[in-house]
Amino acid sequence: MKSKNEIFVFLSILIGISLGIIFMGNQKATGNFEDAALGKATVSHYATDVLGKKIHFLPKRNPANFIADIQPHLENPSILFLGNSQSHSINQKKDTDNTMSGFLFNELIKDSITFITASIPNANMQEHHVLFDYFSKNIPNLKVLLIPMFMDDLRETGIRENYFKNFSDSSFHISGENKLQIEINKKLASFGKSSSDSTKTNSDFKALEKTTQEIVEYSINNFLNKKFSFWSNRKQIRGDYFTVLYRGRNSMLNISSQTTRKMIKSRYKKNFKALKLTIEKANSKGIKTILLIPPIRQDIKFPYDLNEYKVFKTELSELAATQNCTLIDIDNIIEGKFWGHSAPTQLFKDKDYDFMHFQSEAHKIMADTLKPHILEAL
Amino acid sequence: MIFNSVTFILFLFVVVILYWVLSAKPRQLLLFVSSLVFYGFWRYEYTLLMLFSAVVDYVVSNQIAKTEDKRKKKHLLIVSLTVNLGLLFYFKYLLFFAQNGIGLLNLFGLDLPPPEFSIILPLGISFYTFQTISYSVDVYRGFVKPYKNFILYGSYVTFFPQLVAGPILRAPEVIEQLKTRAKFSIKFINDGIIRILFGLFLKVVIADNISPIVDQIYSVPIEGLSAIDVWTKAFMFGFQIYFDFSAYSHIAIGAALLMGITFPENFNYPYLAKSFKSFWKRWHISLSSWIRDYLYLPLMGEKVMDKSTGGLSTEKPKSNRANTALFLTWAIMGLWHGASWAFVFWGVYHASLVFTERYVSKLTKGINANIRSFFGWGITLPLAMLSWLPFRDNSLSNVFLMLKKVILFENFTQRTFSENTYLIALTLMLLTIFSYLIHRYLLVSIKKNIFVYCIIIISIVTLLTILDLTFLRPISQFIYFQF
Repeated sequence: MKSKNEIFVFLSILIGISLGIIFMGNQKATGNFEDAALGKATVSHYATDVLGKKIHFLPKRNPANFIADIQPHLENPSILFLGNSQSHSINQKKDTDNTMSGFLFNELIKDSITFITASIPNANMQEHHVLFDYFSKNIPNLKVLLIPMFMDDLRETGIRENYFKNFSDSSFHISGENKLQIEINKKLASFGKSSSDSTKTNSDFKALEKTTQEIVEYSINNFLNKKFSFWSNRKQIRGDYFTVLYRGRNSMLNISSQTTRKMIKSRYKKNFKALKLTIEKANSKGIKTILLIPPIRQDIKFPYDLNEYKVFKTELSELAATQNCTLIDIDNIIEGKFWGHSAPTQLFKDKDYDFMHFQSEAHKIMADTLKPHILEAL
Repeated sequence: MIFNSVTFILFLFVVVILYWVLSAKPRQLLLFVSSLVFYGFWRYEYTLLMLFSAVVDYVVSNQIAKTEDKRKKKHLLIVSLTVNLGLLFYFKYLLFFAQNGIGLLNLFGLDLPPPEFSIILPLGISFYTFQTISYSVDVYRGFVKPYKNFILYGSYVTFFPQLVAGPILRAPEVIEQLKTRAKFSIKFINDGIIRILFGLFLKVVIADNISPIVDQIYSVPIEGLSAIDVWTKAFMFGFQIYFDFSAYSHIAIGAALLMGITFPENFNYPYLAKSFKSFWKRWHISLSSWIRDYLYLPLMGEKVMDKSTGGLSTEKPKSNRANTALFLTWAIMGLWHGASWAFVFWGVYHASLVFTERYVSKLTKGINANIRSFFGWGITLPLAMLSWLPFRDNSLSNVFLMLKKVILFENFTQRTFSENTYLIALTLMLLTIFSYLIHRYLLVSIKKNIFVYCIIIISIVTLLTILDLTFLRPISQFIYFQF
């Protein structure tokens, strides 16, 4: 290429870099990737007692602090509900609205019964096993364990570091010698290693731990964070890009919230195994287990393969029978009008059907439905 | 200092400006000092080790050149090799051999406890050791006259763009460029910036975002995996390591270009190779050339080359020691990557493929070239991808279990990972082919029209700047740092 042309190329590069920086400077982040999935109309809500102490646990919190907060209630016979985002999300929330957990806590505490909930977005049974193990060791009067079984959640994989890092910080490990339990403990221990190393550092600087560059990079980054808002918003901006990528993929492949999500057999089996271990552990401690087939929107085509869903229900009822626990099927108790909309799953759409989250009225219906079963189990 | 950090970008900016402003002597000093600073940003105490290795070869090579006595030359070379390989052995292999030695003794009834010590592997030791060795060997062979100027020689050994993960440079390829600055051309700056932007994109946008998915799929117990899962694991890590390592090479080449210094290419679309011979002329070219000239050809007693042209040999092996040399060379090449039997297995696996190909290619000579190319690619790609299993999973028993699943087509269609994982693997493959076609055909024709070319440059640079700035963070090191 001629030298004159090279100057044009150089100018083009300068223009490109300048445009890139200008674009970056004017970008506004809309939120993080996880919240974006819920949609604008659905919000997270963690129920509290009259003193404002949370009786609903999200594992990103330190579990010991949570137990300390609910200590005054722990002398009562207690019920533990292990859920996913359905139990901590309310669609079109109004100020006085509450979740099923909040309604049940308020109702049962009148009879000196404590209803505690722990939930994680897209929870899987291995994570529930860890939660149960921890709470069964720290709630002295635990009488009933309630587990809603979402078929969708059985597609999920093992323990996630961002939710369980706080468990490994306290060198906690679950009891049991089963292969899966050993695997879970290994995983928890590995979080312990990384978290102890990273307590001083931001995970964005992981590659610089214990190097001379760490201090310099931190200083430059702090300077950039202070001077340029786009720099401090980069995490959210990255989340926005992933949302666009996710919606782009869905648009290209015509995937929506109604698209059938097939069972992933190996994950299904593993999660079922974890569930069985949880029930066995509960039985050995004299804790009664109630399995729940939770509500799913049914007035429109829902995203399960009907045959697989039937198999799932049958297997749950067989497990309940062999493990001497109760199975309650309430998958159709919530009418279509109480369900919300999720964030759009495709580009150029503004919303999609939500099969997981509903309005506060539906939480109340669910609480009222469960209450007699809980009292009976006690 | 790692490339995927703001510190490096600022550091490079300052060094490049000073490089073009300063006169010869301070400029050479700048390169040497900035390289030491670059290395010291990792752990400054280890710069002394690197300098020690450099000083030994500086002294030895000058002594080799001074003497006419062939035996003395040889003894001096042995001193260089002993020191360099001794350091490499201590830092990289001592624990491995201690563990294996004790394991072996315990087989004979001794009950020795496993060794309980750990040694920090100095960053880039495998790379700068090879570079210092090649310098002494080249002086011994008469390819290079030793440099009296220690600063110049030191700059060659420690030159920061390629210090930690290559390309491995030979003295004849680079030292004169360090001595005499090239005439300033805006083309150096253009090419350098584009290579760096593209390299950062491959690292911070692609490789770092594949990394958590690869970690996740490699944490799933192997027993439940199907053949398609194992293939997906192999392909996903194959892409991660390719994007990660080629990103490093792009940034290294780009950073050197900004100073008018040209490095040999280290990658050339290896996953589109139509044979294993071709694969090794396209993957980590500087290493395969180095191994060829300093190990493989000498083992066979054949003539060596002095350039990084890639591949083990362009000629048909004449020596009757060819097969032994092939397997030995590859086993050592595997061990160079890491102190584990899994890496040795990786080397022997590749040797077996090259060995088989030598014989099969004779039988397929009569077949139409296009058909040969198509089937060649169809066989080379998956077999090359499978070789990454021992790279990622250092347990040989796990590797054999995975290979068994592939060979026996176990539960071929059963899926263990989310649909997205398979989709990403497929997308990355298509993107690799697509980028090759753009690079090979479209870019060539676009370059003919400067206006269109400039518009394309503006668009691409804008996009790369946005993505690089958004994703730039030192969240992970380059994979090859551990080698």
